[in-house]
Parts: sequence; C-alpha cells; structure tokens
Amino acid sequence: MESCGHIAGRLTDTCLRHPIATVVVVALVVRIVLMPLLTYDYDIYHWGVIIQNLQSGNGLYDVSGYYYTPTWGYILGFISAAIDAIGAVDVFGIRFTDLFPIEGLDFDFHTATTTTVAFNVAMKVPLVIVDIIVALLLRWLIIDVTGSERKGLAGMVLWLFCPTVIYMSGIQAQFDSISALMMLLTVILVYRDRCFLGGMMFGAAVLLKFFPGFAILVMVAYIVVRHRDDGTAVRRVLEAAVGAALMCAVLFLPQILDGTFEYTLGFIFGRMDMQSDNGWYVVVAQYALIAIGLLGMVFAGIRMYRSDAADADRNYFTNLLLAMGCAMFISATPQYMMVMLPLLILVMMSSEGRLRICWILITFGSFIGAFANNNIMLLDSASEFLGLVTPEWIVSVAEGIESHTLFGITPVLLVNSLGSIIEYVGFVILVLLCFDEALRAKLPRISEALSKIKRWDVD
Amino acid sequence: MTERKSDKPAVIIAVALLAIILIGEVIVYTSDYTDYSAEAGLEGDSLGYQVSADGSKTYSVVVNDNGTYDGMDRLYIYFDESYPANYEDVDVSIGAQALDQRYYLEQVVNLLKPRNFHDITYVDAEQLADALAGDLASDGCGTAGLLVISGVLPDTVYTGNADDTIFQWLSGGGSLYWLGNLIGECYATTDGLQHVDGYQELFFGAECLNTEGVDTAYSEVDGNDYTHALALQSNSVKYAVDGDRVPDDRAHLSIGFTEGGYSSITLVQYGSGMVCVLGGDYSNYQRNDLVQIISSGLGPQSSIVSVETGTVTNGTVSGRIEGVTGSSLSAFIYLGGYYPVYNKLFWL
Repeated sequence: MESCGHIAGRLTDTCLRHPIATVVVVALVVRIVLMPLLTYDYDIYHWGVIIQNLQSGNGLYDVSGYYYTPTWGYILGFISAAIDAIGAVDVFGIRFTDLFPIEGLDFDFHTATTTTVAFNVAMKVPLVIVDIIVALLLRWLIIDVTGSERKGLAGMVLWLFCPTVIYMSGIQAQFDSISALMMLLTVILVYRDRCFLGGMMFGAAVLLKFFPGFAILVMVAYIVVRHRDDGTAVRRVLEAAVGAALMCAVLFLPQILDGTFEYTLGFIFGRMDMQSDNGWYVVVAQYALIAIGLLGMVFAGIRMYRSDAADADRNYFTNLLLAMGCAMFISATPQYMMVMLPLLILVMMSSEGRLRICWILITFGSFIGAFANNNIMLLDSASEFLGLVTPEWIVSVAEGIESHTLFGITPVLLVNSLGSIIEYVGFVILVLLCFDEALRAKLPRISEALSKIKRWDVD
Repeated sequence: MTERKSDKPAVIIAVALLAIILIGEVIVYTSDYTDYSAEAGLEGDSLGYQVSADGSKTYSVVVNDNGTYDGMDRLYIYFDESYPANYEDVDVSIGAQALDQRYYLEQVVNLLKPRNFHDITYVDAEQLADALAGDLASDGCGTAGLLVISGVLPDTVYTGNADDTIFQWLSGGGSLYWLGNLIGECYATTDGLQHVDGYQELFFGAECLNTEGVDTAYSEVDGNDYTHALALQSNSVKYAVDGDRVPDDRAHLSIGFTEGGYSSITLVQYGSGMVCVLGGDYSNYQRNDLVQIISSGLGPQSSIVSVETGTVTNGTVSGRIEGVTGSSLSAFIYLGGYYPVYNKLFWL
C-alpha cells in the first residue's frame, strides 16, 4: 500500500508533467464547488424569466425581462434547448416569502424568487466552459506572440484564477466571459488576417455587450497598416465591415420585423437614465467618463494608424489595451472589466511594462465591488434548497449590515465604492503606462514612479 | 523568428460560437407555447388529466369549486389616452422600457396568449360604454371581464352613482379586474379627474380599501392555499382590499400576501359578478399574478378541491384525482411553476 507521501509525490510529478491539464482541472474544481453553493439571485432570476418568455412564444422584447442587445438572448435560447433536451431542470425557481425583506434593502437588486440549484448549475456550466476556452485561446495567443510556453501558462493562470472571472461564471452567472471570448476571437481573427470572420465576430460581440465597439478604430487602423504596402487595405477593411454588417443585420432581423427594435438598445440608454436620477453632477461626470472612452478610442486608433508595418503587431495589442482601458472608465461595474482582461494579460506577458499592478488593482477592486453588492444573499439558493443556513439568518445578517451606516452610507455602498476606486486606479495606471515614452520625456517623475510598479518578470 | 502556430482552433471556435448564436436565434423565434398541451375531464367524481411537454416542466393541476361563479371567457381591456389616467410611475430594471399603461397592457395580452385566453378586445371610453350596454341588453355580462389598469374609470360608465352602467354590468355578472389606484375614488372626464365621495361603499358596501400607506406584505394569506397553488408573486398591498371588512352578505376571497389585513389580491362578489382588486403600483410580479388570476377563472366563492403537482419530461403524463365534487367545478392546469409557460382552464 502506498503511503500518503508517495501519492503526494506522484501527484506533484503528474501536475508538473501536465501543467495545462492541472491548471484546467484545479480551475474546474474551484468552480464546481462554488456553482451550487453561491449564487447571485437577481441576474439569474432574469435568465429564467427570459427563457420562460421565449418558451411561451414571446420574443426577447415582447414581455419584460430582457434588456440587452439580442446576442445573449439567443445564447440563452440555445441553452434552454439544451436544458430541454437533457430534461434536467423542471423547476427554475420558487418565490420564498421568508426572503421578501431582501427586496427592500438599500442595494435593491435582489429578489426573493430564488432559482433552484439545478437551474443555477445549468446556467453556469456554459460560462465555465467559456472560461476554459478563453484560457486556452489566450495561451495560444501569448505563445504565438512571445514564443514562451511558460508565459502562455502564466496567462492561463492569471485568467482562470482571477477572482472576478471565477465569481462571474461560477457565482453570478454573468456572461462577460462570453464577451471576453468574442473580443479575444475578434482580436485573433483580425491579427491573423481573417477579416470577414473577424468582422462577423465583432458584430456579434458588440451586440452582446457594447465595449468591444471601442476597439473598432484600432482594428481598422491595424488592417490598414498591415496592408498599406500590398494595396489590399481597403478590400480587407471592406471584408470586415461586410462581415460585421451582415452579422448585425441577421441578429437584429427579428426585432426589425416584429417592431421591437427600439427596445434593443434599452440597456445603454437605461444606464444613462439611471444616472440622471442621481443629480446633474453625476450626469456631467458620466458624460466626462464617456468622453474619456471615446477619446481613448480615437487616440489609440490614430496611434495605431501612425505605426510602422514592422511594429504593427506589437502596437496592435497595446493600442487595443489602451482603447479598452479608456472604455472601462465609463462604468466600474465589476464584470465589465472582463472583456479587456485577456488583452491586459497578453500585454503583461509580452511587453516591457508588465502591468502586474494593474491586474492586481483591477481584479481585486472589481471582485470586492461585486462581493459587497451581493454579500450574504449569495447563500439564498443554498439556504432554501440545500438547507445550508436558514433564510431568517440571511435576512438578519443582511439587515444587520445595512443598519450600520457611516454618514448615511451603508457598508455595502462603502465597500463597493472602495472597490470601484481601486479599479479606477488600476485603469489610470494602465493608461499612463501606455504613454510611458511621452511621460519619460515630459514628466520624468511620474515616469520614474511608474517604472517602480511595473517590474515583473514571470521568467 | 518563431514559426507561427496554426489559427485553426480559433477559427473553429469562432464558427462554432456564431453557429450557436444563430441556432439560438432560430430557437428563440420558433419556440411557442404549442410545445405544451393539457387536457382534463370529469367522469363521476373522478378527474382525469393529461399533460404534455417538450423538455422538462413542473406542472400543477388546481381543481376549484367556484360556488355560483361561472367564470368569463372574453375580456375587454380599457385603454383611452384621451382620458386621464391616475397611476404612479414606477422604477423599472435598468434598460427596461418604462412600465406605463400601454406597455403593461401589451404585455398582458402577450402573456394571456400562452394561457389560452384569446378573446381580448381593447375598448376606449365610448366603446366601453357600448360594450357594457350591449352585454346588459344581451344578458351577456356573465361571460365578460373588464380589465382596468388606468387607476380611474371614465365617466361614460362611472360617475359615482349606484345606478351607473358599471354597477349594472357587475350586478348582471360582469367581472372587473382592477389595479393601479384606489378603485372608484375618482372618475375621469376628458378634462380631468373628479373625486367621488363614498366610493368604497359603492363598490364594496363598506370602507375596506388600503388608504393607510401600508405597502409591502411579508406574510402569506391564511385560510386557503391559493398563494402557492397559483404561484402568486406580488406582495404589494397598496390600494388593496381588507376582505374582513367586506360585509358578510358579499362573498370574498383573499389570496396572495397580506399585511395589516390587506391582501395583495381580493375577489369580492358584486351581485352576480365580482370585483377583483390587485394591490400595488405596476410591477412585473403583479402583472404575472393578474394573468394567472384571469386565466384561472377564479371567483369570490372559489375554494380548492384538490391540487396535484408533478413533472413532465419530454412526453406525456396522465393522472386521476378522485373525490372531485362541487357546484361549479374547474380544473386549472399550468406548466412551469413560478415561471409559467402554459396554462389551460377546464370548466367541468
């Protein structure tokens, strides 16, 4: 009989011989443990409503429940068909009277309609699969760019074990990992000169969540720079444009035909309306942040356009990161940063400026922001269906947290705001690092300070 | 210079992902409630039922004894933008369209379709008066329902007098479904709202409406199990009825959630007809309850004879419920539990 020491030794050897499989397995185990235990109630309740609506013959926008552009709704349609084929989820959720008090909390994006463990797992499994695919694609791209297998593996680890990535797919069931996958695929396809397919992916990605749209100028400029000398730049850009337009037309077709097209952009304008409820200064700040996003998009595009063909690939990734980093200023909603995280990791692994501090600040800030919002209510489903804790205990803890305020600010809002600030600091440093050379010439002190925080070599 | 790796994996993943999205699009716009079906019939005191579904769905069979109430099978929806409405604007989820009267009603119609309630007619103030008068003339009030969510009735049918058309229609058997504000407190003319004194007595024979500002209920109504049997969801009791204060000579049924004596849904007898009041300002939960109540055929004297639940997975499930007796029996079958996708009502 083998001793524990021998088994541990053999396990270690196996892990060292198969590091990719080891990383994937550990990442899966972490998520599999979390999936049934912790769930954010509000978003996943809506995924159930959307599936209910489409199964009862209503489109995405005929009945309240779906507020995004259509791509996620179609993915949910596919998931619902898969669930039906397997026949594994007969009850989506139940409304529990003992959880009613959580609907009256200060952060009121909670519902007492609690989804079942089976439904939670069914919604999260596709997102976990996407996490793994993103990790493998990212590894592929990092190795392609740097030639280093070790950096490729490090990139996988930084993606798969980013707490926010784990949280969004394993706990919150938010689909930003799909956004990250589509963004990454677009980047790769354009990088590999597959402009038509890249355009199609870009169109679908923008209609999932709009952030990839901020990369458009960099991508167009990259295609132009790469094909400036061979005279095919216009043709290539047109191919991409046709791909994107075709995809958008196909995805919007049902809404154009049934007259619900105006509802498809509700989420974007809804965000603006929500900010306008908070006073004029919040609206001004919101427009200023949008301006940063737009300026970043234009500036990064110009920088890309002015690149030499020889430096096109390197500049492509750094300018994409600059554009996406500026776009992130628009909202520090925790999950949004996932769309640019693969780019951040790629540039970390391939550039002189390692950006470690940005990864730490952005992931830590976004994670505590998300966790603060949902806190003890993450146990709703495990409480009602697994009996892990009592609903009364959840309610008492949630109300207890809210009863302690500082200048009228609840702990939830305080920690969430702190998370946002940390995240924003990460974005500011990220953008500043993109201007490293200019800073070195004009603001040497800031450049010197930045150089102290960007040293990190995984090799 | 390192040799470039093949990009086939990325291309395959991209094509697969786009295919999933496009297949999903087809699924979204071809899925229908016709993927489900239900049948029920009474033999002696034994109810046989059959439920079919593509996919896996929980189902409920709710057998009711409705007393003297025979239900209705056609619905008027009052909507007239030339008359003022009297309801509160409500917050909606980020990105959601404002839940105004028009959008609420559009959704009610969309939700009643999979609940197998199809005979729906929009009426403006003039058409409403004509429709109610027509029902009275043809003795057809008992088969008709009227949904009013504007928070105020127009002066073509209600002016605060006991002999108004609306009361004649209710006495004749009409079913009024009301939400959005205190029922009868005002009536609308094209120029504005007119306050009515004693409006609660007109509709209920006593003061029983929630004018105290108690908004949210945290308990289920005792005395019947309709809250769970019908998967009711709204826990707002704003503008709601306290059934205990309704005079004894009028049957009433309080269901849903309760606070301070007020229930989120109360059905009160009025002559041969009834008034059903749903508490709260506009909400998705409330709208869900509304269509559930309309499609279930519930009346003020309804009581549960039996409830049976189960799961049907990619096929058909049959069952039988024994000991089904009563004066006006119905079987309400719905699939999906708190996420209903299909309802069907059978008068037995």
